[in-house]
Amino acid sequence: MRFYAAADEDHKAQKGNIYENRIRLLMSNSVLFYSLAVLIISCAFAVVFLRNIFHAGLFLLGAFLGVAGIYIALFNYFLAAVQALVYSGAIAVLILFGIMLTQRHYRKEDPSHNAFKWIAFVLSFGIAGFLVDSFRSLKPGSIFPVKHLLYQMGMALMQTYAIPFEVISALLLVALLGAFSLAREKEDL
Amino acid sequence: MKGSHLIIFIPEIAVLSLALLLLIFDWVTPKGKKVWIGYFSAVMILVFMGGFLCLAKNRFFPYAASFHGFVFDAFALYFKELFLLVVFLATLFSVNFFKQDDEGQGEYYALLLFVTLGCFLLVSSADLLMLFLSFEMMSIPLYVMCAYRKKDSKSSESGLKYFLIGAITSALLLYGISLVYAATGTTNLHAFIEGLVSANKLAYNPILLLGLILMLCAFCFKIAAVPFHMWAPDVYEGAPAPVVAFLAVSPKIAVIGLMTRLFLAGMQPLQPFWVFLFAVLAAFTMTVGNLTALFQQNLKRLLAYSGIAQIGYILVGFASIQPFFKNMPTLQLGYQAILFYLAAYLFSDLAAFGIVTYLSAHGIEDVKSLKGLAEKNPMIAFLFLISLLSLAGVPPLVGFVGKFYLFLAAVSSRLYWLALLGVVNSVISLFYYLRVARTMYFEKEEGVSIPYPSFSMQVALLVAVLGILIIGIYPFMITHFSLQVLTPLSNVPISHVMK
Repeated sequence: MRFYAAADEDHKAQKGNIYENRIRLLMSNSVLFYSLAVLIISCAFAVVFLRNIFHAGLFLLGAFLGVAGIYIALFNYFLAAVQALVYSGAIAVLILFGIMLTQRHYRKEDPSHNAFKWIAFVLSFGIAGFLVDSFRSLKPGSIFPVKHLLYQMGMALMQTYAIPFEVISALLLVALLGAFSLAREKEDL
Repeated sequence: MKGSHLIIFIPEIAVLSLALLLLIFDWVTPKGKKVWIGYFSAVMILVFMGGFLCLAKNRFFPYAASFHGFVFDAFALYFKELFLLVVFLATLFSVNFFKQDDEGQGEYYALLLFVTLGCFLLVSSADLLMLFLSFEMMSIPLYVMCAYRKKDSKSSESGLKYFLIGAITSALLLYGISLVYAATGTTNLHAFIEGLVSANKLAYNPILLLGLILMLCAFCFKIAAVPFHMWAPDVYEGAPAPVVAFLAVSPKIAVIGLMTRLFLAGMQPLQPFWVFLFAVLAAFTMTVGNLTALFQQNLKRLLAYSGIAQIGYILVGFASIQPFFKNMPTLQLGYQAILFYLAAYLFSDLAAFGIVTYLSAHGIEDVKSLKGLAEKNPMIAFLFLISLLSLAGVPPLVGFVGKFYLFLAAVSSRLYWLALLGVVNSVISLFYYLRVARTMYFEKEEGVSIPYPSFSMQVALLVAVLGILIIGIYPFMITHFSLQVLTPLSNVPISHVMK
């Protein structure tokens, strides 16, 4: 809804053919957004409620792809590609492989009973409702494509976020080191 | 940023280089000599401690600088000295715990340093992105270290439990960060704090509140505050003892430091909300920790619950935010008490865990098997007694002074009930600390005597126990320093941004 409102203000402020095009863009965009949102949320529900862990993993892949779609709706094609490559391509596939390789040790239908199920249910839906309610107060940002997006991201990474960027490299080294010492065959210590 | 500005990153660069150097050393050191990597690391850490102190005594001391999400100030330096002390003692404990020809020691000492690097970055972070990354840097090596004894199923269980809890913690933190970002539009803590201070209405933004609460939950998980404490006893019980000594102190101090920076500098508009929150958290954490500790038989579990209670005392400081002197509104006794108590907790807990490390290397894990320790090894029994009494808060040891400051802060903020509860809790805690002492001193059991610790272990235990005694008798060296460290922090959110 807020997209219409933003477009409406735009339209009142400056009239012209360009703006009619913009409204068309916005409308098609919000159709895209809401359909993606339905896709992501239903996939997420499937991940939580499905008993078969492999099917849950597949739906997780769907949710990741939906998020990539959201990035496309925001005109951020680079992030969309990264999301599709890293989350759907690497992480979800890794999860599926992990399930396939370890599945014979477990029962296929995981009962996943939890004494706190109802508390968790109430709490999570409470927070979701609270968030939906409070997000109405946020002002919509611009959804129009940013110029030189990749250039700006690169500059931010190497200037504003230079230190976190370096820290990530050390973090990856630590993760590698940890994985190596855990997976090594010899007995440690 | 000019090259000369790299000077503010000296502590981080030093620790990172040492960690990488240890990895190379591990590669070139022959089998059976790996223990020397630990000794080398300990010596270098001592050198760093001296070097950073010189840095503080130098013209840098009042100097505070920040570079895009990274702050270098006296406050951070105080914490960095504490972390170096912890990693120094933990390294010496580990050298004595592991056998000469054990595999994987080089990586182990490097991982210790990587955790320390994460703690360094955490107390220096002024950006939510940086905060999250350093949080991870602090946690990931610890998961590995908890599970370092692969053939021991308890160690693996401990590592897995800590990993799962850590993953949930990270998820909570990230969710909180994303909500805070949605509400404020910035990841920079300085900008965020300025926004909070200037626009009061932002403070009552429900999204921001929910984000902050989620972040606080993540912090509470890391410091094991009730009701987020369930993981601690299980993880402590299974992990190798020197890892527990490290795990129980460094990350907790780092998170408390970060919370101090956040709440002292910026959360003024939200004060009425979080004072109550912290008072309730502190009350529950103290009471549950102490009451559950009464029934513990395993030494590590006992110290885990005792550590939970100690965190409860520290949280009292967050609730006590009234200014101590009316004419000095920025000087808050609560935060000073927190900084002091962190040092007290460090010395007392490390001394206790050092002895538990030593005992567990000789197969003693339970309170029952401490019988007759005073005859078998009087020195160890005496040092253990001192550290336990300090944890309980008996004068003239450092634990007493720390608790005195904390409860004084609570009283001066008119939180009389909280101060009273704290005192009652200290009395309860005496029960279980003295039970251990009674088993050591008054219950006789014939058995083989336990050998005296090696020289390096003696040095480590001596450092910890001397810390307990000296700071306990002469606390002003720390209080003076903590005052100096805190005053600039409460005044200016932004000091000097380098371009």
